[in-house]
Order: sequence, then structure tokens, then C-alpha cells
Amino acid sequence: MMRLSQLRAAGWLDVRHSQPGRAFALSAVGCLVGLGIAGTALFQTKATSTMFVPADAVAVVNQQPISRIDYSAQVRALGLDPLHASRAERRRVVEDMIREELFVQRGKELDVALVDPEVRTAMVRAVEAQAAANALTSAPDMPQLRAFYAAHRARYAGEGTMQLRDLVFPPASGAHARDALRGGEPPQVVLARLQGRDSGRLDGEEFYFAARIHLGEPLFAVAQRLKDGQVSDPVTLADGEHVLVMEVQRPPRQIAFEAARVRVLSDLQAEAVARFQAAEAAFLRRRASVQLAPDVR
Amino acid sequence: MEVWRTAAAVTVVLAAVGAALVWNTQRSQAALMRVDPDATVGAARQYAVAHGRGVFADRCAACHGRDGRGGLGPNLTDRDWLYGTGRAGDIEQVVAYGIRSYGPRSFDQADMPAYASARPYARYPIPSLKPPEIADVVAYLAYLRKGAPTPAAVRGGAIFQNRGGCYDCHGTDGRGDPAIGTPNLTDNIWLHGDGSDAAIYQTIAQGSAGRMPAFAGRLSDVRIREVALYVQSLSAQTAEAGEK
Repeated sequence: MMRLSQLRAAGWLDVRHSQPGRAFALSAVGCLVGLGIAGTALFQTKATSTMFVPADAVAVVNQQPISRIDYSAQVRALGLDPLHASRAERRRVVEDMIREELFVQRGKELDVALVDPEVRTAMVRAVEAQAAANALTSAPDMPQLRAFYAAHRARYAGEGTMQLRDLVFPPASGAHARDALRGGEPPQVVLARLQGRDSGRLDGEEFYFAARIHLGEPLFAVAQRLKDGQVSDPVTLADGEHVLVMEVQRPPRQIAFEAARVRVLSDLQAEAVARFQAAEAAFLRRRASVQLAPDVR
Repeated sequence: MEVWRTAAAVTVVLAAVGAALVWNTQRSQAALMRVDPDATVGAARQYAVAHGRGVFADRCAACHGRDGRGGLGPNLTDRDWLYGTGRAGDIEQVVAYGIRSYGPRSFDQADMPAYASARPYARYPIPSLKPPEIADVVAYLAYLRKGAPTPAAVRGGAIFQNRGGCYDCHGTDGRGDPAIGTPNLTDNIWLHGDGSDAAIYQTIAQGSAGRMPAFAGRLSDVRIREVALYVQSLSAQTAEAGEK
């Protein structure tokens, strides 16, 4: 160790003259002190704390307030009555929320999303949900709803219904059956005379969607054009010649705006959500720097 | 010199008044937030209701109407609550987290299926209903309200209590479940339409799943509590008017 007299002799204590050795030594000391302070702060000290808890928080954890409303939700989630929960029960809820907040903060420090696929999925969902929630908060006014209704009138029609008989006849007898039925002969008589059968595909009155499934697309297309009491031309399928007798046809009826407006709002919001989410993805992509490896370009 | 003294005095007085106002606001908000919403009484309640009116006009009136009597969204003045039982704490939770609002804490446990479709319910399989079956269920709901059984109501009851799965959300007595937001079907208060058979048929056929945005993160907790207490006051006014 250098003594004071040696430092004086070397001119280190004379601040009127520059001394490279002194400058280096002081810099080194400064660096060591700085590292020491940083290391202590990193591993030992607590984060800066505020002096009071805001009115709308039950606690502040490393400057992050824990919302009273979240606390209230947590109390309810545990099946406790917020009005009658004991002090110990309330304290337990707060302690649990503080623990959760500490772990969330630690999770951010550790960047757990980098390695945990569940955290990644949850984060993706959360950002999508955020974009969707933003879309919901902008309430459309009545002219916007009316304009949307006018632009998508087909969506706001009730499902049509039909009740018919699907009669199947042997090859080459469909035309005779059609003529007989159109002439007013009862279906049961025509079926017996021409050795036909009722396919039974439709059981009473059915919605269009169900009739489409039960009849199949070719027969449903024919059925949709028939009016009450009309008989179709024969339609040849693998199992014979089908003749449809329409008993009751109720085409889809337009629902008035007043009756449909809640659905209109819902549909408008759904479109807004999709638009906001697409915009969010486009924005993130636009501001990102993405390099592709040659094999996936 | 005199001018400067006057200016300094005015500045000091204005600063003192400003500080007093801020302090008073903070004190009122603290008094509001540090008790359970259902235990808020007296001056704190009056403060909340007065401030909640403005929040409601800005954020809620577009759907619920300026007077809260509904429009696109439900009537909030009729003492009929979908979620919870009308306690301020229940209302506060709905305001904060919304209904089918896409948030993780959103109230989103059930939708009304669209029985006139190939897949009535997105969450799990339930069967479609035929037009006469829906008409029978409508007759059963009329029976629940009016108590006049008909053959159609008996058939509709069987669908309601079994194959249709209606009992699962609305309860076997049709009185709904405030935990999942399913309405009471026996009280003649209707969320959609005018309560006519045609309107009820349409709701059963086409389903329904209204949404309400979540305001947590968009409004401060203080504002959320204020508007919750204001909404509760709308219903209380109706109750008082009814009693008189």
C-alpha cells in the first residue's frame, strides 16, 4: 500500500497538476463503487415505494396498484359475501393477490413467455381480446345500425319452413304420377296404383335448413320453388323418380329493423371486432422487423 | 408594488382554494372506495350518484337510453336484473368486466341457442327444434306466466324440461339464473321483443347473445363505482315510485 507521503512525493495530492496515474486510479475506484451500488440495488434493495395507497387500490406492490374492483371480484370468486367477509378472510384475499402480483412481476423480469407456450398463448389471446374490447366500447348510433341492416337485409330474415310429401316411383312412372297428382288424384291412391312409396325424408313441417339436409340439394332446390298445393316434375335419383307434393310453404320473411336491431348491433360489433383485430395484427407486423431464413422465404 | 402584493395574494388564495378542492375530492373518493359498494350510504352515496350520472350519460346512454329505460340494451330501471340481484357490488362487477366482452373476467357463461339452425349452440351439441316444437315451447312459456295448461303447453313442457335443454339455463321452474345471466321467463319482463308469442318464437328460433363492453382499464375504479351506484339508484327510484 502506498503511504500518504509517497502519494505526496509522486505529486498525486497536488490537484494543480494533472496526473495520469491518479486519473486512472480514481476512475477505477469510481467504477468499483458504481458496480457495488448497482449490485446491491439489483439483489437486495426494494423497488421505490409510494407513501400512500390510492383510494381505488387495496395495496400497491412495487408501485403497481391492486384494484379494489379486482379485489372485490376475488372475494366473490371465493364464495365470500363481500359485506360480511371477516377481516381475516379479506386479509387472506389481499395476501393472495399480492403474491400473484409479485409472481407476475417476476414473470415479466424472467420473460417467461420466451419459454412457456401456455404463457405465449395466453398473451396472444389477451392482446386479441384487448383489440376486441376496444371495438365494443365504440357504440354505434341508430343511423349506423340502420345502414348496416339495409346493407345486409338477407341476414335478417326468419328461417323459412316447408311441409311436403316426397313420393318415389319406379323408373318411367314419374310423369304418370305427376299428371295424376296434378289432376287431383289423392297421393295414397297414386302411390298404390303406380307402386310408389313415400320416402319419409320429411317428417311434418321443417325449417329450410333441416329440409335441405333431409331432402338433399337437388330435391330441396325443386321444393323451394313450389307453392302450396303444387306438384313438382319428376326428379330422377338413384332410388327412383321423386315427385314432390308441397303442402305448406312459408318462405323466409324479412324481420323489421325494430325487431332485429339487437341482432344488427351484435353483427355490427362482430364485424368491428374482426376489423380491429386485423388492424392490430397489421400494425404489429408493419412496425416489426422480421427477417426470414432463406429456406422459408 | 401594491399591484404585485395583490397579485401574490390572489395567487395564494387561488392555490389554496384549488388545493382544498383537490383534497376534498380525494377525501370523497377515498370515503367512497374504502367501503363495500353495498355498504355505501349518506354523503358518499350522494357524491357517487351525482358523479355517476355524467359517466352514465357519456358511456352507457347510447345503449341503455338517457333515462336508463333501455333501447339497444336492457331497461335498468325495472328492478329485474339478469346478472346478480341488483346489489351495487353486482352491478359494479358487470360494469367493470362486461358481458361477452372478450375479456377473461367477462360474464360469458351462456348464450340463448338459435333452435332454428343446424347447430343451435356453439358451446356444446343440443338438438335443433322443428317449427311446431318451438310453437309448443312458446305455449309452455305462456302457461308458466298465465297458468292455463293446454295440450301444446304440455308438449312444450316436455321439450323445455328434456330434449330442448332449456331447463339447463332457465331452471326447471323457468325463473332463470342470475349467476349466468339467464332471464326469468315467468315474470312478463322481456329482454327482446314485446313479449308476444311471435317475438318469443323468434327469440327461440334465432337465439340471442347481447354484449356489453368492459370498462375496467377504460374508466377508473372510482368512476366504475360511481356509475354502479347511479344505476342502482335508477332502480331504487322506480321502486319508490311504485311504493307510492
